[in-house]
Amino acid sequence: MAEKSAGKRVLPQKRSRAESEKDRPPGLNENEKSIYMLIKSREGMGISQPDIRSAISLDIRTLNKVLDSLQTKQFIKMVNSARNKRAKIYMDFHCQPSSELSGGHWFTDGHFDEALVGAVRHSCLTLIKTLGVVTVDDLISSINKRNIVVGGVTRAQIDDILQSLKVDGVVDELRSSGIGDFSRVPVGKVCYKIVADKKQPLVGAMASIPCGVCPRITECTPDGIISPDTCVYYQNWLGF
Amino acid sequence: MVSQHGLKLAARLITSHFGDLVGKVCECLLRRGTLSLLEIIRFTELSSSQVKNSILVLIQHSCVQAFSIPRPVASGAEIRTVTQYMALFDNILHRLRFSKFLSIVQTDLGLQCRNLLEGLLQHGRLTFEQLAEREVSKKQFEGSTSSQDSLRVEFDRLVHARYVERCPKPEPFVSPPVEDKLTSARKRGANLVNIGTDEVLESKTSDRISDVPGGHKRKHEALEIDKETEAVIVESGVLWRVNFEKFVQCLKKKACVANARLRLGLDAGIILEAMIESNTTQGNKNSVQSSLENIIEAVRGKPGGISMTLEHVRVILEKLGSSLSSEESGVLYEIDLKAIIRICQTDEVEALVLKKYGEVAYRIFRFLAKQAVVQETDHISDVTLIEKKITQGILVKLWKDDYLEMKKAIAQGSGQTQHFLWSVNWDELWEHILDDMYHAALNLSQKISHILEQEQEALQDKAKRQRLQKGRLTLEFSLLKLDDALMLFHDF
Repeated sequence: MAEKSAGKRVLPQKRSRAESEKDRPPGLNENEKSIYMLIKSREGMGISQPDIRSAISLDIRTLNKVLDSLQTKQFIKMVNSARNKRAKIYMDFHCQPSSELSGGHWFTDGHFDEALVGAVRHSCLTLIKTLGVVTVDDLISSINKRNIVVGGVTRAQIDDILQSLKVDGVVDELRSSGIGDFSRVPVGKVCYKIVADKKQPLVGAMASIPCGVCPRITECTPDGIISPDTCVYYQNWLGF
Repeated sequence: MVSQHGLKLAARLITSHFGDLVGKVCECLLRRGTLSLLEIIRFTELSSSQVKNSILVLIQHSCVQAFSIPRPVASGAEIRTVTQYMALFDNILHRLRFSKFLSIVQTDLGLQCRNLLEGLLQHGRLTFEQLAEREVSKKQFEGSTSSQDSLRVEFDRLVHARYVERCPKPEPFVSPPVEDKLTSARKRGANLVNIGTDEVLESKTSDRISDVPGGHKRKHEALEIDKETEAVIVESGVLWRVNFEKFVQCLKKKACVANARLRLGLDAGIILEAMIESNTTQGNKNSVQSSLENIIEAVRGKPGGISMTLEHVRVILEKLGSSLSSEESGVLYEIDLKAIIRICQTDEVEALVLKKYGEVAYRIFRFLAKQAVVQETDHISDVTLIEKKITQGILVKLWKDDYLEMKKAIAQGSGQTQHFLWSVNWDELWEHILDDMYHAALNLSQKISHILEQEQEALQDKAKRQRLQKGRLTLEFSLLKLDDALMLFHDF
C-alpha cells in the first residue's frame, strides 16, 4: 500500500513536469514563462498590469522589463479596454479581445459607433410602426433581408435596441394573445408594439421661461449685477 | 420649512400690494417667526403706530394671525398673556391666485357671485352689509341696480359652496404653551409654525362659531345651517372672508383633470371630473371614491358624457389607475389624486431637464427616475445606448445641479475599482425645484413691476408703450402658469 501510494505521488509530478516542459515556450526565462502562462490563461479577457502584480509578486521594474520582452518576442500584445481607456490590458498574441474588452457589439475599432446604433434604432422603429406587432426574429430577418446594416444585425443588438426603446417609453413589450393585432404571432410569444398614446414631452412652466434654464440663476438677485431688471435673457425673450 | 426665495417672494407680494411699511413688517415676521408687537417694533425700527397699522392691514387680509399665549415675564415667576403675531405664508402666496379664484366662481356661480368675491378679495374681510353697500354703490356708478335680497341670495350661494367662510376669532388663546414649539418657531421657521399652530388656531376658532365640541376639526356640515339662521347671521355684522382651502381643492381638481385629459384623452378628463364631483369620502383629500352608478350619473350630466358606454367608463377608470373596494353601500372605485399630482410633478421636472440639458440627458434622467435602486454608470450607458463618456458627463452635470444623487462604491478585488452609483432623490429634488420656482416667480414679478415703471415713463411713445404692454402680458401669463406648477409642489 505504502509503495503504491508512493508511486501515485511520484507519477503525477513526473507527468506535470514533462507537460510543463513541453508547454514552456522556447527562449523564455522563469519569470517570463510564469507571466506568459498567467496572461495566456486569461484568453480574450486579458489581464492588467496591477492584476499581474497581485498574482505574481514581482517588483514593478522587473515586471515592466518582462512585459516589454514578451511583447518584443511577440508572445503577448497590449490592447486598450473600450470601457476604461487608460487601462492597459495584456493578452496572448494570438487571442482576439472579448466583447467585454472591445466594448461589445456597438463598438467599432474601440469606439462606440453612434451611427450604427442610430441606424438600427431607426430601422427597428420603422419596422414596428409598419408591421404593428413584431417579435425579435421578425426584426432580425427584416433588417438582414433589406441589408440595412452592413454585415447584418445580431440578436443581442436587437435586444439592446428594444430595451432602450422600452426605457424611453416608445415601445411596449407584450405577450401575444393570438387574436387581433397579434394574430401573426404565436400565443404567449414576447412581441413589441409602439406605445399607442405616447405623449410628447410637456412644455413645462419653468422650462418656458428664461429663469428655468438660466445658467446664471444662482448669481441672480433682485438688486445685484445680474438681476431681472438688467437680464439679457429676458430682453431677448420679450423682444425688447 | 420655506426656502429663502419663498420668503423673498412672499415679502415682495406684500410690498407690491400694500407698500413698503407693511412689506417690512411682514418680511420681519416671515424671517423671524412668531413675534410680539414690541419685538416687531424693535426689529423693524419703525414707530409703534406704523407697526400697529401694518399689522392691522395684514390681519385684515388674513396674511397674519394674532394669538395670545401665557408667557413668563422677567424672572419667570409671573406669567402674563402676550399677544403674538405670525405670518401666514400660504395665505400670502394665495394673493398670486386671485384671478384664478374669481374665474372659478364665475364659471361655477356666475358673474354676481364673482363680483361679491372680488369685494372680499380686495378688502380681506367684510360684513355682508359692507359687501352689499360696496356692490350697490358700484352698481349705481355703473347705472344698474341690485337689491339687497338678490345679493343675499348670491352670497348664500357663495357660503353654501364654501367659497366664503366666517372669520375665526380675532385673537384666540393658545394654552398650554409648548415651550420648545415656541423656541423652534423663533428659529426662522415661519412656515413650520404656520402649518402646526395655524391649524390649531383655525380649528379652535371655528369650533367656537359653530358650536362643535373642542378638539374636533372644523366640520363643513356645520356651515350648512338653515336659511333662516343664515339670514340672521348675514345681517348681524359677522365678518366674512374667502375660504382659500376650498379654492386650493378646486385648483387641485382642475390640475388632475387637465393631466388626465392630456395623458389619456378627453373622455378620461370627463370621467375623472365626474368622479371627483361624486366623491363620497370627506376626510381624505388625496383620494376620491365613488360607486360606478354615481360616476355614470355625473358623467351623463356633462357635455360629451351622454354617449359614453358603461364598458368605456370602466376601461378609462382602469387606465386612470383606480382600485376597487367593497363597502356596505356596494363596490366603490377609488382614485389616488396624489399619484396623479406626482405624475404632474415628474412631467414638470422632466420638461425642465429636456430644455436645460437636452434630449440625451432627458433620456438618462427618465431612466433613473423610473428606477427604485441606484444604477451604475456603465449600466446606465448600456441600457440607454449612450456612449459612456457622454453618459458620465451628463450624470456629473445633473449631479452638480442637484438633480441626481451620487454614491461612490469601492470594489475590492485584485485591485481597487471605484464605481459611481446614481439615483434620483425625489424629496431633495422637489425642494430644490420648489426653491427655483419661487426664485423664478420672484424674478417674474420684479420684471413685471419694472416694465410697469417703464410704461409710465413711456407715456408719450405709443409704440414703445405697446411693446412694453405686450411684454408685460407675456410675463403675467407666465407667472400664472408658473404658479400652477408651484401649487403642484407646495399646495397639493
